[in-house]
Amino acid sequence: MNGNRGERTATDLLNDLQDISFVEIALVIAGTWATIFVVRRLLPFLAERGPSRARLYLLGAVPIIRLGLLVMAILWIVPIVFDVTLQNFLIIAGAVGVAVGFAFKDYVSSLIAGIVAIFERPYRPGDWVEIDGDYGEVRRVGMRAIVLDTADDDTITVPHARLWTDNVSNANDGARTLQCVADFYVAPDHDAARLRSALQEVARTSAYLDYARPVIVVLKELPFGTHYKLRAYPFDLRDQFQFVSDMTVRGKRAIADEGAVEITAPVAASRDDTDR
Amino acid sequence: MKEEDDEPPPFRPARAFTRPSMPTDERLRSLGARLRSLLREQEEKPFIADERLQKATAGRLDRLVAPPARGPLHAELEACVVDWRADDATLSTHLLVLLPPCDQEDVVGGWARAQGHDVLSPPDRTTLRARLGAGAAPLEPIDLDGDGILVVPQLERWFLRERRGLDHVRALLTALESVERRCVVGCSSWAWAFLSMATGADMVLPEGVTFQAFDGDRLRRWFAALARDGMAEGVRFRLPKTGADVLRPEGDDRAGSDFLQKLAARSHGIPWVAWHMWRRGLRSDREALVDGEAASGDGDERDRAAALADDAGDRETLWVAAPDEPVVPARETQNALLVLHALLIHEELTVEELRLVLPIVGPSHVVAALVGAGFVERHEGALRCRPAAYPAIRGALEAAGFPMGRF
Repeated sequence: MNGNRGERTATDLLNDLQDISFVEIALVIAGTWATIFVVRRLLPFLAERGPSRARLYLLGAVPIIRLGLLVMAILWIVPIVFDVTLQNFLIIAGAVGVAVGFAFKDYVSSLIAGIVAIFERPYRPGDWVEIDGDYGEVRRVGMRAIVLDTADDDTITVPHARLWTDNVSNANDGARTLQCVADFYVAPDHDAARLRSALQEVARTSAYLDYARPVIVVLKELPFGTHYKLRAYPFDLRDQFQFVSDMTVRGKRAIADEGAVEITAPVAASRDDTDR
Repeated sequence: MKEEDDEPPPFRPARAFTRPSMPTDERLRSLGARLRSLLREQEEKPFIADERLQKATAGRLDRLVAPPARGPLHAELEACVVDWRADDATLSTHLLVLLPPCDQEDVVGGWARAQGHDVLSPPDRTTLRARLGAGAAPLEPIDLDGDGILVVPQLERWFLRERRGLDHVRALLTALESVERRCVVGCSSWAWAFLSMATGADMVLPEGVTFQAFDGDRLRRWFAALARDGMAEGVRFRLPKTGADVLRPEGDDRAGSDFLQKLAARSHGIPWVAWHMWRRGLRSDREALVDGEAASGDGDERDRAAALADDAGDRETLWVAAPDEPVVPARETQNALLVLHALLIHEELTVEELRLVLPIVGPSHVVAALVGAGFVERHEGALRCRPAAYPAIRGALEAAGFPMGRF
């Protein structure tokens, strides 16, 4: 009796095999895969060659388009294979829940975090993020993980599941620029007002500067000297390292011209203060 | 002819400057042309073959498209200043005239000298560079007092974009802040964008005014007047593809060309850019077509030659080729753009001055590449952007996200 009912349930759950169009399913899968493949290559290609202002929009559109295509494909295929009713939905959900709970817990956790990341946007392609000490540009947002390119040309894969446990520091958050900081440590015996003004001029005359953003010089007295932070924004975040280098080179010259002396300090003494 | 008879078009606030638009979306049109060329095996035969055309000689150009490249701007600026002087309600005693870059004629300075106004010339670059080293003494205050209007042309030549390169322009702004005399200050829009950020110049001087953009109609009247002045018997400017007369007024049955409208849009409505692009595009016929030498060509070409001879009469014909845009060097693109940006801000710089204002690391031959590509020209030992390349330069800088001038 029970065996007959289980057989009937399975039969009700799945459509008749002769009614399932495997060709249609194959075409949907192939079409979705091909479209995602094209989108993942075409949009970054256009982003790198098109206007700078469109770059982050194009890169950020990739995961959204991919998610949309996958949802469409699933909604297309499910009615072909299954007889969709509330009862059948509950049966499938239960079976999938058991399988996931035992075998693919971490993987599915990353997939769900990936979907959350698309809507919450802690990172988008083109953003510069720091996750657990790794700082780099988000090159790709996949279903399970993101790929970071660091300034040292390392490629780092970070699962989305890290969203649940780690802080994600996003330097530009979708903007075309980000704040850059050049640090200077100067012996206390100098004219701080003049040096502060000189450092501000250093940033204002940099070829990389974004005119629309402020230039700020802050300083703090430490036991071993004065710590200057020169904060400014480049017009393109891809220039951030050249910008910091430019400010540093010309800032050192400004310090020397103002008669001040740069100092070095033991790492232990400055560790607390060097955080951005 | 209406504009020539009436008062000159007034200067307007710089924010109201509107670039002339293309007759249709030119990008779509060029895309369509590319698709057509892919699909068609043979292009429609041009009115006159490209290989028969050669660049017009400098002497001929100077006769038919004579300098200066500023058009009627002196008259328009004078009208603007007269209105400004007559306006008692104006709050500021200063008038800021913002102009596009590549102003090789020094429109404001030339107008001031022609009108006999006092002119405060910018300090020479040697003086500016002398302040860049350590230990330069503070500058003496600048005395602007006197009678009549004082004109300060080319504010872009008052500074170098270096840490100590802004002292002179700051001293000038301080003097302008307190002087009661009426002053007219001229500045390039790119330098103004930089100075507003770096020195707060926009808080000292009022909102800038500028000329109205040169649209196709204004260009036609101007170029026609230049050609008339250069040749008593007249000259015809025709398109190689269709043979249409470019300078024929709108409404004339034989006009049929929106070339000048496109030129106005490509040149961003800037007269000297349009003037240089116009000159660069002019071609002569290698073989004297009207002398009947084309009789050796095929049937179509013979017919066209005959039509051309009938139509032209005794008048000289120049052919107008579409302006070609230079291409940014593929290597060291970022350095190339930095150089072009610095040149637009300073108007012109020597190679040594470029090194001072740019963060280029190590030896670089990017300047030579830019000269070779037609973006930059050498002038009395310095480098400056070619006016005809300005649309391409602006496009490249805008695409790369650089801070831009208003026009």
